[in-house]
Amino acid sequence: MHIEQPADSQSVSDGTPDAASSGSASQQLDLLRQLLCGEDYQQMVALSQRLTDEQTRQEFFAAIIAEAIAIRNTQDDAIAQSLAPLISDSMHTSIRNDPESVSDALYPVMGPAIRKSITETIQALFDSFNKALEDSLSMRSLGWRVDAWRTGKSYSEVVFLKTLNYRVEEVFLIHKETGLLVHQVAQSLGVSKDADMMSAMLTAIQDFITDSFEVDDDERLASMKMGSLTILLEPGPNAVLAVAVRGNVSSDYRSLLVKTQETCHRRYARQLHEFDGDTSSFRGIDDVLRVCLKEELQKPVEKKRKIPVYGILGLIAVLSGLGWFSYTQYLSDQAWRDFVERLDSEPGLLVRSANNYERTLQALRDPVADSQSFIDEASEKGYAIDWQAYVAVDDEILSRRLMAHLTADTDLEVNDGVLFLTGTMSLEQRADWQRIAAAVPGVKGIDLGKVSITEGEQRERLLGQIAAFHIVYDVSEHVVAASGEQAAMQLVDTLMQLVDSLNPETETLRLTVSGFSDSTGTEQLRRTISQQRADTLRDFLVQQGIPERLIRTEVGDDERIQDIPMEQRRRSIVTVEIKPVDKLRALQ
Amino acid sequence: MIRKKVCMLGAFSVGKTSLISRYVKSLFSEKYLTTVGVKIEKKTLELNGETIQLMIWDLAGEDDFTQINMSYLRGAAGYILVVDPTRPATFQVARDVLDKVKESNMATPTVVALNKADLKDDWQVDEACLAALREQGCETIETSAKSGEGVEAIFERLTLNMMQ
Repeated sequence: MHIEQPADSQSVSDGTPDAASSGSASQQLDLLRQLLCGEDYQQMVALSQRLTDEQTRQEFFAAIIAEAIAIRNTQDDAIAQSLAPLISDSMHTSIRNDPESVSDALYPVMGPAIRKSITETIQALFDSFNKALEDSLSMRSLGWRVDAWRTGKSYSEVVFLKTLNYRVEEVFLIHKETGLLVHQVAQSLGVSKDADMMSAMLTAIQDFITDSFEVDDDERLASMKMGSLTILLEPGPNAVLAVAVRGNVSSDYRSLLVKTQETCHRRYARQLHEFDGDTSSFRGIDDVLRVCLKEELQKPVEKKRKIPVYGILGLIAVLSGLGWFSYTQYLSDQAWRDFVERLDSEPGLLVRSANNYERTLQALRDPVADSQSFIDEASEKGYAIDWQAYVAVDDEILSRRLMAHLTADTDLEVNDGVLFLTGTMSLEQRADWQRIAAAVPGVKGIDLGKVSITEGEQRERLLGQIAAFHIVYDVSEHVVAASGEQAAMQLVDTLMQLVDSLNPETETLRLTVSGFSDSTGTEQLRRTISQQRADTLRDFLVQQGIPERLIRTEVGDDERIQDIPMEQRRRSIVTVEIKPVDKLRALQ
Repeated sequence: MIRKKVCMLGAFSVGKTSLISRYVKSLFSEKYLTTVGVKIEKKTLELNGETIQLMIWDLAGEDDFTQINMSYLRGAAGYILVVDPTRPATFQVARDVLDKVKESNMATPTVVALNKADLKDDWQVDEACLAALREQGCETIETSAKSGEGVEAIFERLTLNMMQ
């Protein structure tokens, strides 16, 4: 239905007869319309004005547009997709024209955002470091390193393969007809060397396969695999979405590819259809494709903790073996050190050097040292000793060396190099020891103070003392003077010693006390006084305990003391004889 | 940056691969290696202040046994039709190829390379075929992959034509 505006104004302004007649016709027609439509006519006129008048239309839509957008937004994302390029363009224009106002507006937001980003980055760095540290020290990482070494792959690649289900490395949107790359997004390190070449060759390969096999028009190459890398292809009407994936994607991921492909074709339908190699018109495509850059880690499998019995037993066995080995080694070391110490402390033996690992040693040995026990022990335990001779001067070795010269009834001791001799020996033997002490190295001196002389020499000495004994009397006196008593007591002592030295079974003494006188008086008188002097001494001896039966007295023969001057012959002497018992008895 | 797909066409052994090698890598080899299927090279050039990236599809040459895989030509923005004037038969091959190509897309810019200009003494130009090619709107440029003569020029000419 066509409704014309009332033509009142036209007819008034025209003013011509024709116009007047036509205006009249128009009025009549308008009147007719009013008659036919009644009250609806005015509403129809108003509606017509609302549709044709621009300002009225704007006011009409302004009243409902916000609510309309809100309602549509709950239904799908068409509004957002439609507005996104406009908003993006508007923002670019706004920032380009007035960057300061934009930066002022963003200032309160950017500071906290940057701080948050830095905090999260540092946290991620720490987490990454911790994980790397944990992984690098675990048995699992050692296994991965072995795998990397065995397969020739890098360690990071092996770790990646072992810990990820899949990871999308790169996403390509390739114009289907030309094979030209529309856009590409990648992880930090992509896998393709040249995305443009890859896109073209991928297209060529698809064309080749499609042409080479009898397939339906809608059948296209869906995937290609090279080692751990898989190329997934999702064709669309005007573009092919290709993703490079390591690992095996989940079924959900294929759905994501389809959805992304649909989004690309919905949002960039015109650009893809009219694509002439200029990619500048694909604003926002990066965000669309980036959702396909996904990765999925393997879910850690909770393993039931088993007690590693064999491992523990093995560990115990190893530890026991190590313990036993260490213990035996310790004992062996101890025995060796003990052996070396004992050998070194043994008189006459001296350790020069010892090899604790080879169990060998170099030692000095004095010929008189006791080394045989060490030689036997070394032979038994497998030690090797390299002996070298030397002369030791320590006291014990000196003692041993001098022992060879000892006779019966003698003993010796060396102390600080001084030779102490004990026992009984003859004077000749004593002289010999003096020579020996001087000849033996290390002997600093000799002490014979405790050495006794022999019985014969003792008896000779006693006899000599007795022979030298005499008592001198005053003129015509036969009583022993006080001075003579002391000499007489010494005589008694000497006699007693002599008696003690006798063997009572075979020997006995015979004492002859001889009295002498000087030339004073007559011969008779002289004989009398001489006899008295002998008797007086005999009595003294008897009185002192010498058996009387052993003593006889006599007048001494002057011949015996002829060397003594006459005036000094007022004396008495004792002569001792040692006689066999039987002979003595016979005499008795 | 604008990307364009260019296809090299012509009979076998006319020097398509050598022209690309000279243009992209500045290399030439006397050794002949026949192209199997298709090889693709990339060359970026600046023209009239604009950066253009050519994706050059080097298609296997046509002979009695090998026909051009037409699917490779899909979406091409331009063609270089290579002829070896020392072998007059290659003119006819070029003409046949052009006929096939124009069946699908008449407006695609095409430049004819009269290659092996360094052997000009041996040229036996099939004037009739050459005229037919020119009648179909093909420019002709003498080139030599060996000396480099006309190589840059032919790619630049085609690019200019494609950009118009």
